[in-house]
Amino acid sequence: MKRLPILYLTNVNWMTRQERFFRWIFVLAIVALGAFFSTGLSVKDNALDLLPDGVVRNDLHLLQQIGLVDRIIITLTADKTVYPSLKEAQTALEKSGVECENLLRKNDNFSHVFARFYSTDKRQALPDLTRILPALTRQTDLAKLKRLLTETSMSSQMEKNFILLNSLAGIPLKKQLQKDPLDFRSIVMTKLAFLRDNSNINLQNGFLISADGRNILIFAESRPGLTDSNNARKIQNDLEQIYKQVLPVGITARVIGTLPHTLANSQTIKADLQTLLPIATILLFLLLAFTLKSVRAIVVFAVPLLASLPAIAITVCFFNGMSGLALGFGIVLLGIAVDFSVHLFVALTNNHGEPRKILQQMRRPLLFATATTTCVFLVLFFSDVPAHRQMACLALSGILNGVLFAWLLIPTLHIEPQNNALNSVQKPNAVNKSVPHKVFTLLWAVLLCLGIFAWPHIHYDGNLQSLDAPGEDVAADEAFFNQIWGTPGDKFFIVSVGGNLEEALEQNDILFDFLSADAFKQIQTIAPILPSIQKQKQNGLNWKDFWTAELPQFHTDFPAIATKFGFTPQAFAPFFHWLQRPVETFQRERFDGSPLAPMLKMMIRPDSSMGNNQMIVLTTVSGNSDKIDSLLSFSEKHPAIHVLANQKWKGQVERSLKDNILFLSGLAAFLVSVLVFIQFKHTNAILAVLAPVLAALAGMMVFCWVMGYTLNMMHVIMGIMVIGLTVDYGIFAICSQLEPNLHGTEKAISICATSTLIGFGVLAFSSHPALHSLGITVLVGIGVGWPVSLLVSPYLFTLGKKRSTFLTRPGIENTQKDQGHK
Amino acid sequence: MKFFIALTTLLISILFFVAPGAAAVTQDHELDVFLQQLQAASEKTSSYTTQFSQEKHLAMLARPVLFSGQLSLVRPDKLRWQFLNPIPSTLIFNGDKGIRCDAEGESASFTLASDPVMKIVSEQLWSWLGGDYQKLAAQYQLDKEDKATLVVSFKSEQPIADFLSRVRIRFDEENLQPIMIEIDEKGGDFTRIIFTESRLNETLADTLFNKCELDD
Repeated sequence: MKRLPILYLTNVNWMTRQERFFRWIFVLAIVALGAFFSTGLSVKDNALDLLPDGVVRNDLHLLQQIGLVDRIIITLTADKTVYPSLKEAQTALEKSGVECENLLRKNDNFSHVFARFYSTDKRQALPDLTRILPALTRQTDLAKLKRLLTETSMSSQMEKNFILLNSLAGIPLKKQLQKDPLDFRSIVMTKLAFLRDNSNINLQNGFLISADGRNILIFAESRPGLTDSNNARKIQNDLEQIYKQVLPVGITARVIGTLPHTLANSQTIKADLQTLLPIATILLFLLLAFTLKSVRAIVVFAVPLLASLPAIAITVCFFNGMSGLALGFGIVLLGIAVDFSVHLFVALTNNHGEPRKILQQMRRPLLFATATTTCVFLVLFFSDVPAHRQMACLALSGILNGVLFAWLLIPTLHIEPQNNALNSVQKPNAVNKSVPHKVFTLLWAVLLCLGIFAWPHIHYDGNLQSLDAPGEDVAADEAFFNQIWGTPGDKFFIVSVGGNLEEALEQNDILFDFLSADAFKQIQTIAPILPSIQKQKQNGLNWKDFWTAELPQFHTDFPAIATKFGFTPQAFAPFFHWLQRPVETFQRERFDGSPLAPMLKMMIRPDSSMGNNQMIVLTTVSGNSDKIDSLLSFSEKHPAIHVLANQKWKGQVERSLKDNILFLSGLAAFLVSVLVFIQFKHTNAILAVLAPVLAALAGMMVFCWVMGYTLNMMHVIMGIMVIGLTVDYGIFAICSQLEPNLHGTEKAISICATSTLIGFGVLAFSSHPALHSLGITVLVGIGVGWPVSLLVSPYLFTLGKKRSTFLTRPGIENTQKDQGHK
Repeated sequence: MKFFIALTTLLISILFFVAPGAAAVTQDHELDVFLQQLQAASEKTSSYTTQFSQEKHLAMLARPVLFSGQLSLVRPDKLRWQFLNPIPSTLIFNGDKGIRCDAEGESASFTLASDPVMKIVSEQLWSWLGGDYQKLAAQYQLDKEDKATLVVSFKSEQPIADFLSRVRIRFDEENLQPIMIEIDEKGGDFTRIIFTESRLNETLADTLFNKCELDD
C-alpha cells in the first residue's frame, strides 16, 4: 500500500492537485494582470517606425508634415460615350468638381481641399504683383528690366500698346497699360510660372483641367495617417460616399497617392493570409495529431499566446505607444517560446521515470536556450530602427514569460509516457561512426564556404518601394494619371525649415538662388513671388540703385517714344507715379483670398509635431537626376534645407541596413559564443551549438545569391528570429548528447522546426513581397538549420574528443551517478 | 361739395401717382415689343457679314483714331473681327476657343476659360451682336431710345461696370441688324463703331473662323 503514493507521484499524478491548481492560478493571474495593463496599449501604425533613426527618418517625417504622404489626388474623368460634346463634358466635370470640393470640405477627415484656384462667381483677382515688383526683382531680373528700357524695345512695346488700345481688348486692359506700358508684367509672369509644375495641366475657369479637356484634378489631404490601413479604409469609404452623392453617370473618379497603395497592400496581405492561414492551421493540426498524439498538446501551443499578454503590458510600460508592425512581428518572434513547451512535453511523454528527474534533466538545456535566445533579442535593442527595439522588448519579455509558463504549466498536464517511451537507458552512441553524419558534416562545411563566397555578392535593397505591392488596378490608375497629366519623372522634394516663416523663407531664398545658379530645370517654388522680408529689402535696394542710374535717360527717351505713337504726356502718369513710390515690402497675407492662396497653403506648412515648433516651405525640382549629387552636397552645407529624394534615402537605407545586419549579427554571434563557451567550455561544443546557426545564415546567403534576391528590412527581423531558433536547436541537440538517458530531444527539435516551417514557411508562397521575404527567410534558414542540428551538431560535438571528456564535468557526473544508483 | 373734393383728390392722385406708372408701363411694353422684333429678326439671320469703321476717343491718345475692317459672324458662336487699316490684325472666336493675330501674321490661340480678358471681350461682342436680345435684357438694364436704339446700362456690382458705363446699339429699321454701336467707357473714353454694307445669311467658309490668313 505504501508504494501507491510513489507510483502515483512518479507517473501521471506526481504533482498534487493543489500544486497544479496554484500553478495555473499563478499563471492565469499574471495573464489577467497583463490583459488589464495591455488595455492601455496605443497602437500607432506608422510606416516610419520601420525606418532607421537619423536622416531618412527625419526626412520622411518632413515629407509627412508637408502633406505629401497623406495627399489624395483625385482625377475626375468624363466618359466620351456619355458626354460626346466637350462643352457638356467640361460643364459636368466642373459641377462634379465643385460638389466634390464642398463635400470634402464638410468632412472632418479631409483638409487642404481644393478643386479650383478661383471661383468665376466671385471676384477673386490676383494681387497686383506689378505694384510689389521692386520687392520681387532679383539681380537677374534687373538685366531683363534693362533690356526692356532700350529704345528698340520701348518703341516695339509702344506700338503694341497702341494696337491693343484700339482693339476690343483695349477696353478692359486700358488701366493696366497706363500702369505698365513697358510690360514689366512679363517679369512677374515668369515668377508666377514657378508655381506650376511641368505637368500637362491647364487652368480653366479656375479648375485644373487636362489638355484634352476631359479630366479635372481635385486635391485633398487626409487628416488620419494614410499609412494605417484602417484609416485608409475609412477614408476610402468616405470618398465612395461622396462619389455616390455627387458624381453623375459618365463621370468617374480615380485616386493616386498613398491611399490606393495602403489599401492594395492591405488587401493583398489579407487575401494571402485568408488562403495561407487555413493551410498552415490544418498542417499544424496534422503535425500535432501525428507527433504529440494528445489533446493536452493544445496547452503547448497556448503557452506563447498566454505569454503575449503580460509581454504587451511590459512593453507598454517602456514605450509610449507601439507600432502596429512591431506588435505583429513581436508576437511572431515570441512564438519561439513554443519550442520550450514542446521540448518539455516531448521529454515527459518520451521518457519513463520520475517526472521531477526528467524536468531536472531538462532544466539545463532550457536554461541555456533561454539565455541564448535572450541574448539574441537583447541585440535588437541596439538596432537603429525604433520598431526593432519595440519588437525586442515584446519578444524578450514574451520569451521569458513563455519559458516560465511552460515550466509551470506543462508538468501539470497529466502527461503519461507514451507506449514507445524509453526507460532510463543510455542511447546508443552511433554518431561518430555514422557515415551519413560525416557526409552531412562535409556538406555543411561546403555550405559554409559557399555562404562565405556568396556574402560579398549579396545586395541590399534600400528602396522603400520594394516592399510595396500596389496591384494591377493601382498601377493602371497611375499609368492613366501619367498619361493625362504627364509623367512626373525624377522629382526631388526640398524642404526649407525655419523657426518661423521668415526664417524658413530666408532658407528658401538661399535654395532658390542655388537652383537658379546651377541651372536646375522645372523648379516649382514660391521663392520668386514670396521672398523673405530680408530678401525683399535687398531687392528694393537693388531696384532703387537701378533706377537712380537709369531714370535721367529714361525721362528723356520714354516720353519721346510715347509721343511718336500718339500718346499724350499724361497717358502713363500712373506708371511714373508708381516709379516714384518707396519700395513696399509685403507678407504672406497679401495673397489671402487670391487664387494663389491654395497653392501657398500647400507649399507652406507649420510643423508642430514631435515637439517641433517650426515652419516648413516646400520646393520641388523635376528631371534633374544628374544633379542630385550637387543638390545633396548643397543641402549638407545648409542644415535647414532638406532634400527628400528616393535616391538619397535608398543609399542611406542600404548603408544603414548593411551596418545593422553586420553589427547585430556580429553582436549576436559574439554574445551567443560567449554564452555557449561559458556553458560548455569547449570549442567543439561551441562549434556544434553554432553549427545550425551558421548553416542557416549560410543557407540564406547562398539562396539569395542564387535566386538574385536582395536583402531588405524583413530579412533583418526574420534573420534574428532564425538565429534565435537555430541556436536553440543546437543547444538542445548538444544537451541531448550530454544527457544520454534523456530521450525525444531530436523528435522535439523536429516538431519545433516543422511547426515553424509550417507556420512561417507558407508565407513564402505569399504574393505580397514583404510576407514572401519573411516566409522565404524562415523557410530556408530553418530548413537548413534543422537537419544540421540533428546530423552535424552531434558529430561536431564528439569530433576529436571523446564524449566521456565532457561527461566527467560536475553537472553531468551527478546525472550519471543518479542513473547508476537506479 | 364733399363729392367735389373727393373727386379732385382722386384726379390729383391719378395725375401724380398713376400716370407716370402708366407711362413706364407703356415704355416697358414698347421695349418688349422691340426686343421681340429684334429677336424675331435675328432668328431669321444665321450669318452676317459687314464692313465697319471704328472711331476711338481716348484720353491717353492725343487725337481720335480711326480703324476700319470687316466683321463676319455665324450665329451662335463663330465671329471674326478683322482690322484692315491702318494696322491689320484679326480676332477670331470659335466656340470656347479663339485665335489672335497681329500685323506680322503671328497668331496665338487661346481658350475663353483660360483668358479672362478675351472672355470679357467675347461676352460683350456676343451680347451686342449675337442676336439674343432677350438674354441681354435678362443680364443688363435695357432702355429704348429713338425708333431703333437700345441702351445697355450696367449695374455697379457687375464686373463689366469696372470698364463700361453705357453701350448704345442702333439697329437698321428695316432688317433690324446693328448698324452702330457706341461705347461709353468709365472715365469718359468713347468708341463708335459703324457697320456698313451688311450682307445677311450668306454662306461663310469655315476657314474664316479657323485661321487668320485667308487664301485668295
